[in-house]
Amino acid sequence: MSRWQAWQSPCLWALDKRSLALCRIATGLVILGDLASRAQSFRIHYTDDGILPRQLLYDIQALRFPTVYAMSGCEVFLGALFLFHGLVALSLCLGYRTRLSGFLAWYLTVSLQERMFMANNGGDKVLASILFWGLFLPWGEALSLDSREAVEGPSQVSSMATAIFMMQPIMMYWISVFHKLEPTWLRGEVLAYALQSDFYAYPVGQVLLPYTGLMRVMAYLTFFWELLGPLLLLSTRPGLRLFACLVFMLMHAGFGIFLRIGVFAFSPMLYMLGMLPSALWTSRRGGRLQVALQGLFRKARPKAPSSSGPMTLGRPVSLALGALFLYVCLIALSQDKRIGRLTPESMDWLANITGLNQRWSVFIDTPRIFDGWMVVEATMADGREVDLFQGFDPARWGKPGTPYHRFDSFRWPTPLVVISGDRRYHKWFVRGLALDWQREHPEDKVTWASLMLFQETPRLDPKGTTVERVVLWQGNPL
Amino acid sequence: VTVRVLALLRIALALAILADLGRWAGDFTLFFTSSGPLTLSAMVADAEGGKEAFSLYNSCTYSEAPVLLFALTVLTVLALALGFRGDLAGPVAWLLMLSLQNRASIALDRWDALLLASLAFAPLSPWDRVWALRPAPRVWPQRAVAVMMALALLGSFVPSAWRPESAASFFALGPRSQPPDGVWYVALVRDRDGRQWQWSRADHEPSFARESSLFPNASYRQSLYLGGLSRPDNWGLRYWLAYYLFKKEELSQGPGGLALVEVHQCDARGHRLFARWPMQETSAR
Repeated sequence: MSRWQAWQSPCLWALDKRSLALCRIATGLVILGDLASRAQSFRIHYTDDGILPRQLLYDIQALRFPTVYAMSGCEVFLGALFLFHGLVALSLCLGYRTRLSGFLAWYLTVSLQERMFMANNGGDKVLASILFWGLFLPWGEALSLDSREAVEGPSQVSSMATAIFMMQPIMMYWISVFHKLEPTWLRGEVLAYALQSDFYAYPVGQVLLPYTGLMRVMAYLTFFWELLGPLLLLSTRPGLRLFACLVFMLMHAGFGIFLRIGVFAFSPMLYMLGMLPSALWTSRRGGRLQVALQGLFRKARPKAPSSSGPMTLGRPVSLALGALFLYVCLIALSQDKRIGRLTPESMDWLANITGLNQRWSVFIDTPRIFDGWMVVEATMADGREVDLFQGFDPARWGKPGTPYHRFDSFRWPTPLVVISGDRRYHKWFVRGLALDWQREHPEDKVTWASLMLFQETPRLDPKGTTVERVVLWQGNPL
Repeated sequence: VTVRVLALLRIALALAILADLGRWAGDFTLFFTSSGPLTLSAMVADAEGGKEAFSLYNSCTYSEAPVLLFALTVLTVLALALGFRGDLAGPVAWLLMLSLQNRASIALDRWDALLLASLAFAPLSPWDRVWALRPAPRVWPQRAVAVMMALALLGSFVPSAWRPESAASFFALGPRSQPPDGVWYVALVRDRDGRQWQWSRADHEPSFARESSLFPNASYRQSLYLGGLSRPDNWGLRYWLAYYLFKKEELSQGPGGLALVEVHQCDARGHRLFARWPMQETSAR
């Protein structure tokens, strides 16, 4: 056995095809959920009548990925594309023509993320990376409409793609830990600041605010688990790996309960599902789940399709993938200002065109995290004053129960932070809201609007918080 | 209709499109790149139907992307001419030509709509049965072809929300894009000291004479473009022309020295302001 073959044989990098299939199914479901969540703000986020019309997009952000969602601003086209995107996600979930579905899911998902780049968070980058590396994984060879048997070929698979699949979350956590070597994290104050922000924290998360000691412990636990937990993911002992996977999943679920991070609560779990050890599937319960799922797929497609054979990666593809992953690691590391750029600018196209332009500085520099609420006070032709953003009629300046009274989706905090910090967006933001309001209230006509930011200064002691009103823009938006 | 006639039609259509692409290529920077007056922002914001128009050219802002798409269009049409998988080359050529025309929709005329409509029938027609390098492996059933052609014909008379120009009704009844006979355009530049000169001719005294025209030997597409700018629906794009001229002049003169660029529409009776940059004063609308 050559050294190359030995490296490829089941070992440290071995993943179970059924776990990968579970990851594929869950990925399809996460995309469907994400689409459903994005669809709530479909017009206002994705069409030319929204807050980021393409004319602004082209001027502000260089589109570095050929984005199908920018090919037209027509609502019918975009709506049909959303629908098609959903069907592709369903197809991936069911494992129907898995390779084609996987490719389309990757392309459409990255396209969608690029179109509304403001609304992305780390979870979107995780999802994009899973879909990209998934193109080289045999995740359709079990528990799918494509697979003839419960598992095609040996149940474990080991390749450069599986190694990258395992190393990607590990790289994410370790680089994230490196970013966290900053005062707020080291003092354990990060949760206190993050949960204080109405923009990001759910009310249930703010219940923790009085318990500073507990928040400090939670912050340190997160820090050390992200540092040491990945070592357990690399363990070949099934029990240890299973334990690590479950703890990571619980950690992200916890984040999702306290903070408006949406897809970031789910997408890292997908990697964990893909890394579940084979022993789980040979256990009694795992075996039952496998039989039940495979039975469903057989029932749905009694005639087995002609198999295209197990997926194998040749040496050139493997080496290219390895080099690409190394490059992605350097890109992610370069995002830390203390390190600076590690890759030549002329190579940026590679990260952009693959959707692997990663940045893992999540909740860093939290004392500067945005907190407060926004009011878009508009005067109607009949003299009424309403809040276009919160939806209050009549408008009021007081602190609302939630900063997203009218648009309650996790896809709003990041755009609001970007918009409030860049004056080029202000008029377009108000214009998008005004058009949306007029569409929903055809009898109203917006004649004047004022974009106001009520900014709260985050302090560890909530009683010491001050509020400052800033008028960002005013005029006739239409 | 024999398959030979259809093959002849395929070859003639492909050659006509190749000749057309040759004409587009002469004005490539002007119409397809964001360093010309038709930037992506300008087209989606200010061109008639630009918001709805579908185009592959709108998908990204790489400066190489339009060149690649254009090259792909030439290759695909060449494949169509040679009869290499006409069933695939036809629809792909249609998609690429639709994208190309929508990217520069202001410089189109009615023949462009006809070329596009002809390509739309490509996948239905057995036009690569003979005189083809590699014919399509399967032929559509005749009944399906008849139904689809009838639907396509009916559809071609309904102006599409996505692209009004592609409808046959537009071809028959639509407005002309060519500028009226006897009209020309002159661009003047003024610096911050009040000195004025002809655009791109530093030693030239300002003049509204025909020989001082902005495009003295306007190509076919440049004429269509100027005609399109004259249409009321495209008035927003006039600013982009003035802005483009301003930026080009600034490149040769150095930054900070220019005050404004004005474009005047002229005829034998006189001239009137057509567009200007910066836009402090409103131009003719």
